[in-house]
Amino acid sequence: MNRLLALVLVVALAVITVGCATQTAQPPAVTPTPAAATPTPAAATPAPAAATPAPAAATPTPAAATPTPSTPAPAPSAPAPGPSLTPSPAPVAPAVATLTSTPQPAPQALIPHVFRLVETDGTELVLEEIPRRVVALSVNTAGVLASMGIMPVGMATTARAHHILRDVPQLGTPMSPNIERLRALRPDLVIANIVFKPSLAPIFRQHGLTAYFIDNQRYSDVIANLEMFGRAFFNNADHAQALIDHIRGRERVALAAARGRPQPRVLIIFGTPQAFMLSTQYSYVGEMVTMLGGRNVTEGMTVVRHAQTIPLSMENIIAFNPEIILRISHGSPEQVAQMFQREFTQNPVWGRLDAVRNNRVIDLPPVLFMSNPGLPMIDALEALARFMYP
Amino acid sequence: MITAQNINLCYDKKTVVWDFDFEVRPGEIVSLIGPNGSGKSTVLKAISRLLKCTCGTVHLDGYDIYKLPTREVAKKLSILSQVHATPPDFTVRELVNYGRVPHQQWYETLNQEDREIVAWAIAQTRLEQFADRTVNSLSGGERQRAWIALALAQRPQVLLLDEPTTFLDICHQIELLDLVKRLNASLGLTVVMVLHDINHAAAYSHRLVVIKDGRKVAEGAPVDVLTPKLLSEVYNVQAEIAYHPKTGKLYFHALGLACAKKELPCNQATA
Amino acid sequence: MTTRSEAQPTAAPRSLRVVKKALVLVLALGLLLTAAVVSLRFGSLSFSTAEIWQALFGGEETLAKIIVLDVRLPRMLVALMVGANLALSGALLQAVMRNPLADPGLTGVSTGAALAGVSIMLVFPQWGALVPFAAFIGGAIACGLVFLLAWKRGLDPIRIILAGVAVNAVFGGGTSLLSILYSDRIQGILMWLNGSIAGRSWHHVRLLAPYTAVALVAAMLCIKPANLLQLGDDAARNLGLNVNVARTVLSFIAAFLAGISVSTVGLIGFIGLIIPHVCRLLIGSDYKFMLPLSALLGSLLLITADAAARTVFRPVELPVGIIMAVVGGPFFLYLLRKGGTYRV
Repeated sequence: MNRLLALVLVVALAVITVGCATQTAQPPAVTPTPAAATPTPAAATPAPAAATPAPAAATPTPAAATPTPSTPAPAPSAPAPGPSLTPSPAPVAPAVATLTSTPQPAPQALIPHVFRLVETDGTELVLEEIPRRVVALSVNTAGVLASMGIMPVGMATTARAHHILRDVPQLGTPMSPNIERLRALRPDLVIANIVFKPSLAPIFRQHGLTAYFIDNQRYSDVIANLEMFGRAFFNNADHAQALIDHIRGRERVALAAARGRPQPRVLIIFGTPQAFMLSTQYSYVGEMVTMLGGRNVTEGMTVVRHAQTIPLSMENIIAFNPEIILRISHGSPEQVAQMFQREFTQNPVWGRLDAVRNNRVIDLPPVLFMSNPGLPMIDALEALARFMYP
Repeated sequence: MITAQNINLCYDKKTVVWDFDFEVRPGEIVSLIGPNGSGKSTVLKAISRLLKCTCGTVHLDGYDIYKLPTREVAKKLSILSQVHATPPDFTVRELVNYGRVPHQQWYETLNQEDREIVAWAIAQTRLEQFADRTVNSLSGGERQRAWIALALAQRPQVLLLDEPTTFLDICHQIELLDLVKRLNASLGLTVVMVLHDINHAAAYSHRLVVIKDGRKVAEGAPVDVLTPKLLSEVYNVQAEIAYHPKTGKLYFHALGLACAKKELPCNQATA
Repeated sequence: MTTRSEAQPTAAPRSLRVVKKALVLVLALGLLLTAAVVSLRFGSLSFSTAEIWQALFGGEETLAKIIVLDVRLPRMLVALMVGANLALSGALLQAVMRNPLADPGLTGVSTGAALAGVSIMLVFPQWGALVPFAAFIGGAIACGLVFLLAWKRGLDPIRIILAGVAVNAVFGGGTSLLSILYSDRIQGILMWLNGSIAGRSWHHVRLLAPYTAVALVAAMLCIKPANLLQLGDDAARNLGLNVNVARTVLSFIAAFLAGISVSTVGLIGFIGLIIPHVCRLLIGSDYKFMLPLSALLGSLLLITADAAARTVFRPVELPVGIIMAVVGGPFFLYLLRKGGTYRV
């Protein structure tokens, strides 16, 4: 956990410093017209900065920050990949499939003043200029943007915001933000969760707010978004790619743990013992479990297509006989564990499951697993790999 | 039988009956008459413990009616309100069965004696042929009789009737009042009723009590009470009192309003 | 049970009525027992009758045995008790309010329990074990509030209804507020909010049984006052019933019946409103027959609906409340149109 926070911080600092340095130091090389908005060449530079702290991210904050000012040697050709990043560019997981359908990043350097985001429902958002005042009504996205060096001017209210977002004004729930305060910030782009599109889109339109509705619930979504933001904002595709590569690198290590091991049957409980649902393979945790080779009890059983949680019958749970039970609940893991323990002892049915018999019931810390935390999801994946393959 | 002393009654904060004294002797029929809103029904509710007095006392057979267990009162006294709610599928007999409730313990059901009393009450009210029909399928007069049968099944000593003839046509009115009179004569049942029709009150009561604005105005035998002067004062009606040539009964005939101020509501005219 | 003394006929048509009513009761009991046994056959997994038989009487530890004895049987028993409780609660309240539209929700029990339950599950999930207890207390507080507001020299049905609407609005608003503030956690409690017997085990049977037994007996003792209240306040008073005491006691028993049910299975609507109506249409409004029939049919409905809830969209569970609304609503309309001795 700490390691990841440090990483995010370092990356963000690096990006910011580099961004400022390039902005002040040298006028944009490629685009002559809008002076401030497009420091294109800078995108290539932070790559080494981001790459260096990755292996041992906990300590070297100052160390990582120092090399950045020295690096801004203008890379003349924009699409050059981050030079010092060793990992291969080929993505490992199928998760990236959705995002690769968007056009390749190459032509963007040529028309940098066009800003383009695509929603999962196909809606396209094209702007003449790159937005500079962004409000992120999703905490997860606010974090992702910040780590790319794009500090939002406003975000949703949360108690779990990363401290680099400490000074960003909080505007209420992602579902119904305070429109007055939102408008007062004069954002040129509002990023909201796609779940709330039906209710929020007309409101934003009414108030003349440009909005992009983001799908960022799953692991693969965050990577897809990183890539898209990288291409759209400041043309810093390489910078985003560096973050992705870093994540991919750690991901490969995590997935290696699962290789060659028998695929465990996994049950993911979401909620409290009084009323819980099961997370499917389409949920955040469910997707990671599948990536790690787990077989979810809900596979092939969903009634609603791509539903993230379903109320599955206890009978099927017994018949499936999971080997690992993962529990996600809000509240402190110890107390939740206690509570489930009581339910498990009161209801003898649980005791018949292999997972309970072999003591393979794991309470997932809510900070990482309750909902997608953004970039720290790689920590979640690593933790999950350790839980599943001790 | 019933003695009410100095009772004051109010709804919410508004007093509607002041310092009312009232006595009912065993075996008599007493009618309460008076204009609308004068407090007749309120007095009836008070002496049947449905409404609590703000001050004053009501005694039933020498016991304070508010201190007697309500079930004990129900064995001695029965009151019939103006409007009745009968569950739509109750038959006459099922309804009358409830008259036995005050005589049963909470766990008891009808025994043979109860059944006989119910049959007797139904016979008294001449409802035998309707006994197994639902109450709601009966005519207004029959329905009223069914409720009187329920009251009879309580075997009360006193029967209180609140405007029992209000929703009935003239035939059913007479039928009902004859029933009351017969019960009074044959069983010695004491009856207190609120009536609107002064002629009925005069014809069927031993005694009248006239109420106006929550106060007792007159009391006594119909012949003594019903005078043109009183009718003019109480009802603001100019009336002629006469004795019927055939029956010899007292009756009155309204000639018109006593006071010409027509814009005033009737019961304010002399206030 | 209470029909014994009534069954001695004195007049032909009357005895016929009683026999008919007794027959309806016996029929309902038979149906209930059948449904209870047959429901064990249904679930998201299919077993043959032979497997079920073996599960019930065989010694072998089969999958069928685990599921029938440890999943379906306790579920059926919980449905049995909760169904009876809710139907009785509704029937008593309809007598108290003298209003056919009264249901357990009117007393604030459901919304109070919902707010208490939801706030624990969303805000203090670590105290989840307290949900049944808190739901009961929440229901009791809301119900007490309704009666406190409605009390004015006695309990007037209209005032109870108005106070109920007001209290429900306040508590319901609280629940909505919580579900908006904690929208990320709401999926976990949706089943509870819609009422579900999924996952109820022997533990819940043991929890519910003593309270249900007490409440059932108490409810049956209410037959006489409930009948008297139907005659109207004045008539009931005239017959020696202390109307205020009766209203309070009946309401308390009704709230208790609803409270213990809501606290174990969440919010199940519909039964309390519809079942007493159906019973009136079938057997008349005499609580001597209507109340036992309500209990029987309430159990029957909930057992059937729960079997459907775990079967229709298997392997996915549906909240049983939804099933009941979908199936029970049209059936009720049919009964209303067809009429009976009782017309609303």
